[in-house]
Amino acid sequence: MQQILLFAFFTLVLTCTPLALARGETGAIASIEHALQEAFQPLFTPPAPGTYALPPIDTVNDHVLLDSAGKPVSLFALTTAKIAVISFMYTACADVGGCPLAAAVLQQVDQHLSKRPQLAQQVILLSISFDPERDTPARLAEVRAGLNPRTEWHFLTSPSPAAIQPVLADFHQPVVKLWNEEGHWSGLFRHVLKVFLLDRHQRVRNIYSTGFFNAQLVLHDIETLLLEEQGADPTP
Amino acid sequence: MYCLPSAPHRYPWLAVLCILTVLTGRSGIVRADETCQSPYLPKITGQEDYIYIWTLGAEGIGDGSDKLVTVGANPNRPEQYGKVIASVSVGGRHEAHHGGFTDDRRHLWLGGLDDSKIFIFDVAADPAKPQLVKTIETFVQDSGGVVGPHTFYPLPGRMLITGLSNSTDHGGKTGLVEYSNEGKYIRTVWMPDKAEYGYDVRVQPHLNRMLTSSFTGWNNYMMDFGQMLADKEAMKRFGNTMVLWDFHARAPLQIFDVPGAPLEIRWALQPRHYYAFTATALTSKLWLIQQQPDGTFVAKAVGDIGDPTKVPLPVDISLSADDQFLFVTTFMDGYCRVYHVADPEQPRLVHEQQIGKQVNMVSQTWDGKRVYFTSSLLANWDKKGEDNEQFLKAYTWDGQKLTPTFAIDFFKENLGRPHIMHFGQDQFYKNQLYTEKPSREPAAVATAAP
Repeated sequence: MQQILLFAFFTLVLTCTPLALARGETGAIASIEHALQEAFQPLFTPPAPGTYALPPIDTVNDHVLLDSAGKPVSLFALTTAKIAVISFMYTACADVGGCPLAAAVLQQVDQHLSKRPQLAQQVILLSISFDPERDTPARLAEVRAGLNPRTEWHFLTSPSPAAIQPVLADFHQPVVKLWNEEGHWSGLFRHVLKVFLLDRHQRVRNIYSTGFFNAQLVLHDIETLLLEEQGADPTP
Repeated sequence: MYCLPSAPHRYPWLAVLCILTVLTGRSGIVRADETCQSPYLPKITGQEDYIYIWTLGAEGIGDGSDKLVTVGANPNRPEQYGKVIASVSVGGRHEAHHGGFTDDRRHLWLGGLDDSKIFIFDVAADPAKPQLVKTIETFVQDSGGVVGPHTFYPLPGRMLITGLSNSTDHGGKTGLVEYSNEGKYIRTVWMPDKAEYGYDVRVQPHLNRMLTSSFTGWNNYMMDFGQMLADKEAMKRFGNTMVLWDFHARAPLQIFDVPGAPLEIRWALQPRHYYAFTATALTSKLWLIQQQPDGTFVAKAVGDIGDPTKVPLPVDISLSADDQFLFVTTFMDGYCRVYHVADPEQPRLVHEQQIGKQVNMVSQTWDGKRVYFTSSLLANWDKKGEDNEQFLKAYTWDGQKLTPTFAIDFFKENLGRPHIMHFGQDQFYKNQLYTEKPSREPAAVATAAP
């Protein structure tokens, strides 16, 4: 696992550095290093589980998606008995602060959960692609195999671009196709990284984004929800 | 990792593809947008097309109502540039003041400090013509007594709103209120007893820290300015504190003594710059709130703004994206002062220029090339007679001086008193993959999970 993370780190740096240089963005390199450092070596220790509240932000609808075997699955059927961590992504993403970061953090969450089987039984990780034309079930299956999750981590897509729209709208996940100057789709999307924490009632209890998303924070939030189920008072 | 390292031996081509597509698709893009927004807000890139200005209604001016005014800001569109292209009245005067986009930038929330109404505009459907789509009239009731919604700060999926006052005594005790993007109340966090005033809020997510500042309550900000200055008791009722919070827990960690109403807060924008600036309205000082090696923060005054004995009343600050320049507006003398703040502990005045007889908000583009100013502070605090100029003025900034480009007289245009500005752009909303949230209903073809 450590090898995978190290490989991820160096590949991201090697890939994104020339991108940043090409864009001529001042401080871009520092930003890349910054994003990676914060994902793997956060600058803060999250508050202890149960010492804070995560009031419901929103509720989400049920949606039918395709799993990496190409089989239709209901979002509610997957998440009803679990605390869910849901990331929207596309596998061709080259934004270091976006999908790659989310995958790296979820991989850490998966790793931590694997060491705590009782906790892992309460949790499901979902990575949902908003690029169904390229992210076919077969492709997601290959990506999943490469990540080799040890806990319940599903990779989902949808039958068509139209089918993913209501899911994105429901989660308020903005995604925009980026077009180049010639009027062709660049193959990229502009999207703000959002990773959603859902309780067993499909209520959104937290939304993570770049700069505030690391494995320890997610695990503390999961434990906070479990303590809440047990009647813990979050009042400090 | 999905793109590259997930299975690198299977997708060696993908790395090259990613590089090529990004280079062809995005090189040359210049980030524009305002510099001092929430880090959770997606930025518009390139030239802003519109400036949205939340404008106080003024008696005898047009319909006298608060309104959202849209001004063309793209010089490549001469038919719009520097002109009012839309104006949507919300009916009545509510003490229009501040506002902010939701984190998907599809809606602009605008607050009234007097009756605490919140007006929500859709800016995505037609960015040139924002439409009022919802009004929250229950802010005080929802929040358990918070009055005067001030800062609207987008967080993922929700809006964090600071209050200025409370419904019990209309004094300065207040709180932080959160709503979902759809306008559903989430929670209220009251300011700590030893720092009960509120004003601005800004989050530094990398550190899990949040800063709040302090102003004054409804009794003061709705009072005539001259009358208030003469009222010694009223002048005692201003905030003198800032609070550092554990952002995730919404728990106060440190309270700083910052005398004289610290108003706008600006965190540094560059990586590893763990400090923020504020300016105190009544004492006219720049303050630095800086992280120490042990992780705690210290607040200290780092310079005067103008001549504090003349009470120039600094009201807004705007930090450049490279953390090099801090633009400070002072209401009473109508000046913008630009400080070089590469060394944040020793700000150096590098430029000053009078913008008008009074000036209030300043917004700077991310590329540092354009700066916009508006004139109104509060309906009862604005100057009187000929000094009561009400304008939007646009300038370019070349690193040394401000050069005017266009100006709009908001009284001559029958609009009112312009306050906060936000930027809009057509291109930002093109090709978005969704347009609206569907109704809550079960999936049509749900099947059992494997």
